[in-house]
Amino acid sequence: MIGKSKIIAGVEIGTAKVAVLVGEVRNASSLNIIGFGESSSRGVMKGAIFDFKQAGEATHAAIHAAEKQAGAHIEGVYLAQAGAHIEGFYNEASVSVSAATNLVGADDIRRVCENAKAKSLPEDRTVIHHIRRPFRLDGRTVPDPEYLEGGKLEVGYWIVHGSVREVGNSIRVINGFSLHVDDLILSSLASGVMVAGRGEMRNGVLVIDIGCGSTDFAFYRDGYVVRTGTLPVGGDHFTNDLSLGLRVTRSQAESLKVNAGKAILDPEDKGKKVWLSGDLSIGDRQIPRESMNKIAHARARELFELVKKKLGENFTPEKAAAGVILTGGGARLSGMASVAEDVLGIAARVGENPSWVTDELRGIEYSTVLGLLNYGLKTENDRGSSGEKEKTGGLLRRMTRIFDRTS
Amino acid sequence: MSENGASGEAEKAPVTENGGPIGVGIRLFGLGGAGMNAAARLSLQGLAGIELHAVNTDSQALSRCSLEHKHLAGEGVTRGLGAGGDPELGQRAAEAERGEMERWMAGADVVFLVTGLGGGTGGPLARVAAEAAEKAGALTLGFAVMPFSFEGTRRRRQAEDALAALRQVCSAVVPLPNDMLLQQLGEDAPVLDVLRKSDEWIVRAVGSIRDVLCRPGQINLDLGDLKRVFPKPGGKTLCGFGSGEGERPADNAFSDLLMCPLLHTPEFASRADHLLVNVSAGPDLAINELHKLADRIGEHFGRDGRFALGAAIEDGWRGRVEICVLGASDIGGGSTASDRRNSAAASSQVPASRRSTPERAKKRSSSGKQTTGPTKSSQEEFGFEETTDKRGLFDRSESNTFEGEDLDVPTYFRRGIRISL
Repeated sequence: MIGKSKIIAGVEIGTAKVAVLVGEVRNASSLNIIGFGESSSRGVMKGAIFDFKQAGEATHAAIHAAEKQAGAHIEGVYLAQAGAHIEGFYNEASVSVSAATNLVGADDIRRVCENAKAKSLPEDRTVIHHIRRPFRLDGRTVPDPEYLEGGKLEVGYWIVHGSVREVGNSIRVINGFSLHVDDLILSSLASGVMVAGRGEMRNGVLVIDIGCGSTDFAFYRDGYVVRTGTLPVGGDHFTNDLSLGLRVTRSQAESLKVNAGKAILDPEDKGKKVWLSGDLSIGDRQIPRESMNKIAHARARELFELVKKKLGENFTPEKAAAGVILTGGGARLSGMASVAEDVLGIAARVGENPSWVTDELRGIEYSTVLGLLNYGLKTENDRGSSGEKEKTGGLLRRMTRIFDRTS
Repeated sequence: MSENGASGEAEKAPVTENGGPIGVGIRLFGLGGAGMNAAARLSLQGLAGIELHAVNTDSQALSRCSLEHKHLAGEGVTRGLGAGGDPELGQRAAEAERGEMERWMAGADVVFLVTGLGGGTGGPLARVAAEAAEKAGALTLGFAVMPFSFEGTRRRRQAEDALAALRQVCSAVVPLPNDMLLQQLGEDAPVLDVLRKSDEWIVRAVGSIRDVLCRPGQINLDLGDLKRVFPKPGGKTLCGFGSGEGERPADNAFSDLLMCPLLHTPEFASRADHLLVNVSAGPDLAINELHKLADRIGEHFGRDGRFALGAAIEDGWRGRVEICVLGASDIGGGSTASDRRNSAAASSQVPASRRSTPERAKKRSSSGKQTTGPTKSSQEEFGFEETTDKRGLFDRSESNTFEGEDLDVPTYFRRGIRISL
């Protein structure tokens, strides 16, 4: 293992952009980003691929650019998953400790994990993640139950699953470039790792990744993922609302949103106006800032209300002591954090990527693709240290192979 | 507004015994409670030359209605007590009246149906009325007032189903979402103002079509032209108004048209295959200005299919221009593209035998000016397929409902938040 380096890659086929990062893992422990490629996405709406050919072309352009910069060939990629087709549920199981000594053995742990994961899904669904929560031994939470004494061992999983068709589409795009998919990673988990620290995950933190086509969230508590979810609402909806409400074209709405948009009803903007294009051309007109704010505010409020609804009773302000972290391009809209704070009742802030990330990738819209590489590094780590306790995504590997074969 | 200026003149025009202008029989039916009330209010707004009817299942409400032509529908089904928001009951009442409806429609050339779709009566009555009107060979234009989002999911779904059904049988349907009307007025507007606002749109559309048909214009349009703009039911309708004054009234009217809220609601098409443009202007509008205006409108709303332009000169309107754009698209009905192509080809090749309604076919072929051959009509269809992706960002994506609300529809719109421009 020593001195060996491996090339890994992360690909995010988003609604706005396709981002590809190439990293070099040294000694299965350190990561060096060596290539970055980006293209504007086409054929993707609300996080789902609707035009396979266009999405494929955009992805290939980004992969090509990243490979060129890295001067290396990618073989496999870690692929982000988002979109409305993704759902999750919680399932748990318990076993009686089998040894006469009442000491938990590796076999007990294996059995309880398998039971908790063995929930069959409808044929058109496929598992993306089995996210384990801490073990409980006779009701006590224990990080590692092996060799501990007890009678009843319990464990629960948050199981994230997606539509076979949608997941398959994104895998096929990658396969179409003669690459294989190493693993699928939920966007919100990828970005969550980048913007939230371990301490925050322990204290309870809600990461909301507002993309262009969809919003994904992950709620961490005691260092574990408790719940994930996705909403088919993103930055595009803000633009579309502005375009309809202000009766401007979509590109005008986008530029208004980026340059002058606010998600809060700022009293200072009362009576203020902003030029639509500002180039004194015919048809240019002044747009009241107040109206823009109202439109964006209504959408932002609703977005966080929906997140709150989706989280249900599992989420209370006390359970998320570290607050809310917003990430993704949609979080760039001014005032989003304050609306989130207002709706969710806890402190909210816009996240930042870690300081080691180069300036080019510091923008929060890159936290997902950075997180993919981070996940890849972790996987390599696990492979490096032989004590691989949990195989990440056993079922998933089968799925990626199925698509390798059929494509 | 054009209809005010228009009414005076139209009143002087010769009329037939039923009140309609000679040549074209125009009737407007207010169906169900909301439709009936709207028709009654419209009667006060000078829609001269149009025969107004009210149809309802509620005899008490009907007795309070001031219109001359009143019809109690489905007396045997609801005993004159209304349908109570039950569409099944409304459906039975409407079916019971089918024969009668056909009688009321006889001899009509253009039929306007005005109805509210949230309740139980309007939808089914309008559908049966539209079918009867089609049988009579009339061009049928529906105005459907859609319930507020806050009226609840059930009513909204009911209204959407009714709208889809109505689109199948009307030449064109203009949905008037109450959400949008409220939008225009603000959250604290009294209910009556919201209703008046919807009346205003109906009056403008009805008045404009009446003007197209009944008043001699600089560039005249007749019933045949109108019918060619709405060749087949089922599609989304485009409907917009603009008016402009000042130094460059044509430019201002066009800008105003682009801002028309009707063109910016999710239920509307933003481009159409077939377009009818009616321009009313003062005598100072130069012909090349009109030409330029028509060009811009065609470019903006689509002129891949039929494009009909009418222009009327209003003597007292120096420095003033009003535009009414009505359009139809072939998309959206239950029929497939090839289906439509076949029927389009059939309608221009085979006169009467293959049509579903012989009377209507006869009328259409007698109007003579069929200029489009089968090849051209299939090109139109093709041209249309290319333009579909320009229709709103989420038009082509799957519906996005959460707890009964379509999240793709702007939030401010669903919440009735007023946006001033």
